[in-house]
Amino acid sequence: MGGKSTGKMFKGDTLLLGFVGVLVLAGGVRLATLWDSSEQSYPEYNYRATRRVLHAVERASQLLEEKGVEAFEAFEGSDFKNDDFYIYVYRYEDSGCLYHGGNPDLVGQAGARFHDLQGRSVHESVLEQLQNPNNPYGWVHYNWNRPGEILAEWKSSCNRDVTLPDGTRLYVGGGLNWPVPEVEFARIAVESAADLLESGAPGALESLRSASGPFNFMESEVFLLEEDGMSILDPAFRGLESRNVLDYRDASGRYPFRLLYQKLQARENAWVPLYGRVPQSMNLKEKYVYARRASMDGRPVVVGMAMNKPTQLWQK
Amino acid sequence: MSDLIYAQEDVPPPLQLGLLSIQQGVLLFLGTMLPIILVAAIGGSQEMAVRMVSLTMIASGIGTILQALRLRGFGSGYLCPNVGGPSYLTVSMNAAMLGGLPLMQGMVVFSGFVEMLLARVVGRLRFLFPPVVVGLTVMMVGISIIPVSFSNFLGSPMAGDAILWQDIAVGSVALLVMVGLNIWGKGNAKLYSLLVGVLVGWVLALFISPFSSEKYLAIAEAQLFSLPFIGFSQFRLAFDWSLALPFFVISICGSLKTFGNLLAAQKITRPDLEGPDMKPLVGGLTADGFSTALAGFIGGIAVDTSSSNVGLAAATGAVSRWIGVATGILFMVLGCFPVVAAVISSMPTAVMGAAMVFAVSFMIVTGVQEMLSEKMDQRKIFTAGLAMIFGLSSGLVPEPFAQLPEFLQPIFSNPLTSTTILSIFFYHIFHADITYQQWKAGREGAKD
Repeated sequence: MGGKSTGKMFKGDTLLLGFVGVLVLAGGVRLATLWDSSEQSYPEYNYRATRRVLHAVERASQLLEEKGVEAFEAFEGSDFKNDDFYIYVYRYEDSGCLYHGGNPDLVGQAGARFHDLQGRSVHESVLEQLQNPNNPYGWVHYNWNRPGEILAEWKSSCNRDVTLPDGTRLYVGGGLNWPVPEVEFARIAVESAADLLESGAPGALESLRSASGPFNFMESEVFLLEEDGMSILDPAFRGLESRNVLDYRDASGRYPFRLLYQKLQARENAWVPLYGRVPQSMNLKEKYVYARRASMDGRPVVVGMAMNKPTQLWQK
Repeated sequence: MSDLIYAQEDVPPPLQLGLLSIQQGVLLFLGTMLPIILVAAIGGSQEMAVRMVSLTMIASGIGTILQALRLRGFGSGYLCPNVGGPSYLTVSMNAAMLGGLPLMQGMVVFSGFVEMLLARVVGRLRFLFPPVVVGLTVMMVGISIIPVSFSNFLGSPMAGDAILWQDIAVGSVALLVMVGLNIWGKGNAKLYSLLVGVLVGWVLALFISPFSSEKYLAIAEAQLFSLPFIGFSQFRLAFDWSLALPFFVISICGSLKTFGNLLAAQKITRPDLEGPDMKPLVGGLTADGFSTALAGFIGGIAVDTSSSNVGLAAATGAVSRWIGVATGILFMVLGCFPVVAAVISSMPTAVMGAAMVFAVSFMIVTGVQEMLSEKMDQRKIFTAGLAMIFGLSSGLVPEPFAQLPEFLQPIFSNPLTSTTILSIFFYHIFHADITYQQWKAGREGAKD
């Protein structure tokens, strides 16, 4: 047992060296051929499913622009329809459904007829978000049941404006089957809310408050605070406006909003952790709070949102 | 267990030494992802992430070398490499978010000193660690890595995220190659089974997995050479009493884990030993604490001994401490060559997962073998059985433990800590009568 090695080559070492050499060569050649075909990486998204559906929608829009409605045949493949997401295509003009990978029964029906559990018109939401510069991939969120299932769950879909070769304007979207709490969704909602407030548009505050608006989804909602910490739209309790959030601790004993305000003194926007309790567990559930400084009616405010923190599988 | 090819004091020939240290280094690279995760969480820049990766690699390298040395009371003399410690990740993130990097660094230094103090205490507690307790601890260290190993094997998805068949295929093929070469391979094929498996998996991934050039572009964009020092401001430290308790608890967990790793390394390196030799273990714990403190001081994340690397040593039979020295030097040097870190970090996660599963298998079975090295009577059976059941329950069924009094909760916060503490408790309870007899006999002998 043990002993110093003489460095002597065992029988088969030459074979092994040759095998390793072939592998390195094959890998190098393959890398060279793949280089130009690389998929966009979407680094702002944490979940693979999200990146896959974004890629699928991008690819679907290219196919539609090239082939028109003949592209629908390709949408039946697993790249566009699988356990994680599906593709759909609606006409801009009359919200007519031209293709739906998740529920083919919807083809021919007007998307504008459908409202989710909160009364949200999904078609209107898509058209609105396709114009939103803060939302480059046209994300919308809605509460919907899967075909045949009794309970509803949050769904998210990304969308893209497309014009067919015959000039028909439509949008192609990808619907995720599972809710994924991307922190990018919080950023989009907060930036959009801040822009809305700063535009001085009438009903801006009501829009932030609305349960069927784009600022309320996946059990998260945009909050609004005064410069001194008093809540206008409370981060935790909608009905409990006008309390000073700087006085409140989270489940870890820290003051997250004091930290947030500290950070916002030096910069326009900030992320801070916020801990809640996992029911019946000694573990804490971590959320991210994203917030930025904005102005409403000429006075400084803080707009933000808390989202569940994405966790690695092994961190659960 | 693999026959030893390179024993503790053997010095492999230069080429072998280089390849074996690269093989050890491949597993250590998983720890280099942790600074990237932390910096992303605190909204830091790419430059900060690269610098922190480099500093962590330097600290890992120094820690690995110190561990391999046998200075007076410092270092175990075993091949027990250091890596960025995942157990410190969450508390470090919180500290960094609360008070910036100086606070994170200061608290990590504090943890290092706690570990060094604990090492002094552990040295006097040999009687607490009979083989059944030692074996259980080593086994639990391996079991504690199962979540991260398996998660990486699946391509490291987020909780609730899509799992790609390509990742499972790549991980499976890589693992099969590693295991196959380790079982049936001879000479170098067995010695480098992990490296060959990694290469096979990597090339397979290039052929079947969705490709993104981002990781490979990072290689082209990485600096060739860079000293990760930005001036004396890098060494600013802060402290916050509100973080002392969580870091103290993590230090204890870290010390227990290192203790388990060192026990396993000792068992693998010196299978002739009948019970733990505490001197190298105390020296190893002290070196580990020092490395943690050093990592914090220079601006890296906390480092810890790596269980999977100990498992790899067992798998290959290459346990020479000089491999540790070479690995440490390699890592320190690579810390100053960001381009090399970029190359290794482009390795598919499923391949890394396969490597971890391969290495951790040995860790777990080493523990089982140690547990069964003595005849298992009823007392030992219940020591091991009850400790495992109640200790593992804290991870498998955590809800009831949330209702424990607060002072007990840290003990049951993770299965490794709870199983180890419970095994010590049960062992001495079930052997109380024997201990009393021995004490009484000792007293009567002394009177005579």
